[in-house]
Amino acid sequence: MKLTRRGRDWLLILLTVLGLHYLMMALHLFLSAGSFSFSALGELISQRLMEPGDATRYIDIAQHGYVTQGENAINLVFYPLYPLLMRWLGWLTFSLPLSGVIISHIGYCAASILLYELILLDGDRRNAWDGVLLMALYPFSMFALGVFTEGIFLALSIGCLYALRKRRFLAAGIVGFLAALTRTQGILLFFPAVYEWVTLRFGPGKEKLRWQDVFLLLIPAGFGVYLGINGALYGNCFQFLKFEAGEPWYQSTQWIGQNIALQYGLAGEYPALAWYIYILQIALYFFILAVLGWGVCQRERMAYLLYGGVYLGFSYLSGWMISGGRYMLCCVPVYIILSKVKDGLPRRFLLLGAGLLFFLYSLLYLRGYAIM
Amino acid sequence: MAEILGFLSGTGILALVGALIVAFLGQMGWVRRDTARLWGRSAVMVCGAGALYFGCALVFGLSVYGKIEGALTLDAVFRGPYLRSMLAALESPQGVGPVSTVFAWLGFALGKVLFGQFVFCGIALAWLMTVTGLFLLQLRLRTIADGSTARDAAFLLLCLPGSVFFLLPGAAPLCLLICAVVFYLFGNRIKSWKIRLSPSAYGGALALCAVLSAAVVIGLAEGKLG
Repeated sequence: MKLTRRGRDWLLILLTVLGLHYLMMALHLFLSAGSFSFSALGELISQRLMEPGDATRYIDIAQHGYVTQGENAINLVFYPLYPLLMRWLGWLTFSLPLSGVIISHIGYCAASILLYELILLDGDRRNAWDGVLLMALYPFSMFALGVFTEGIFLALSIGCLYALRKRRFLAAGIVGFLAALTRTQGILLFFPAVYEWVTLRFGPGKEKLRWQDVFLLLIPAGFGVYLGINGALYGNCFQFLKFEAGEPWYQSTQWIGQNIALQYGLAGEYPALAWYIYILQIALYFFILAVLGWGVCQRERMAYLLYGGVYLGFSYLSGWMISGGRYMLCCVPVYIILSKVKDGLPRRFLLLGAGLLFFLYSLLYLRGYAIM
Repeated sequence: MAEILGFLSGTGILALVGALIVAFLGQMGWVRRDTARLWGRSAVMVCGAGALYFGCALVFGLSVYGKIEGALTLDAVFRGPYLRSMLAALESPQGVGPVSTVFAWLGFALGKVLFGQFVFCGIALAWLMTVTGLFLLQLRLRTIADGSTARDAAFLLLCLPGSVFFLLPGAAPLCLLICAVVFYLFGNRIKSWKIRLSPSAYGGALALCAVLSAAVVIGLAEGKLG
């Protein structure tokens, strides 16, 4: 069987994005134990991809659904799609954690290919390849492979942006609906959707309104379904906000400036955590802001800039944030904008810097540091 | 440091929102490209003037008092009684003069939207009004004179003694905006703009204005003015 050029590209992408992460795990095993074995790798995957952070909560939802009694009642703050897929796949694999990892792997691979195709619509193969590399080398991309929503959300959000770019509103609505059922940030895809719709129907060279446009409303409908679940279980559509405000998340909504100042204060208070939580979140904020600003100057597509802007702003409205690095993994427009950096020293330094940071933070994560 | 980062992050995202709105309007063909550029230039001028005035007051405060508690908060650097009452009014709008009260209500409403950041919103609103005012003035001046006259006039306006008040919460930015709107709407009745300073006279006027402006800024930092 002979692969087409596109097929070869896709295969290379899959080998690269997965290879980088498994190489990282192998390097970690070499550095810590001086040897490599598949059993050690299996144990590492189990420890770092299936158990940390919120993974146990997703597994619990997949097993028991949302419960209204007991300490797991607060699991309502997690959106339903990912654990639901885990449950369905679990009937085949007989293991919920394994199902979660498989779904994330599939999601991450699909996201990489979709990102490649998305960038290819407005750029060349070098741009598309750089975008994929930058997403793979994002310092916290390891989360996309574990029992977290990052892998699947990346695939769904990039899929939605791709469908919007191709002006396929039905597909965009369906994929956006699923994204909005995966994470809070999913509903933010409605912003680029409205933008694409307005420019298509009311901008220069406008086209007639079509009844299919209404499918874009599926994106907020996804969030509506989640609110409906809240309402059905507790009689309060915003019950999840109450849970988020309590133990162990203590989440609140505050102005970005206040949150950034708070992060700086916490960095001074907990210097051991500063460089992989607090300072890092501040640096990431300004870096992404600068990238989006550069994107505006470069006249990047407005839909991407808009999504990047609302994604960044919305994520940093949350007070007491400790997972900013992980959240920003899904800020897809950053990869799209940075993929346009012209070949030369800036591009080389960008890839070098991304590679170094990927190694550093992946190693810290695999060693069990409190990267969440 | 925390205050600087907080301020920069907040203004950064608002600036991005502004840039996206302008770019969107341009892309839709609702705003011409040179008009959008004029808006951007007005914003740069206001930001530059604001940074200079604030820096001037800060350096003075640090030199005289050695240390300023919360050095990068507005009420620590500028101490005038009017400004103090205006900052208080932003949190609970009350009678500080008719125009100032309107401004205070606007700042209060925006502050409610932005999670109780009343002072920040007051400053952001003042800067936005000043940018809009300058933009409208230049837009009209370009039609009755030319681009360079419009630019010179706008720059001179930002250097006028007391123009620091355009960048602080209060009546000044709102008055500037109202005047600019009136000038934009009715300025086309002026057939042509005859006043034209020579470069040396303009430079001299700027230098004089700069010195007097610095005096107002220092007076404000010492709490003796405004």
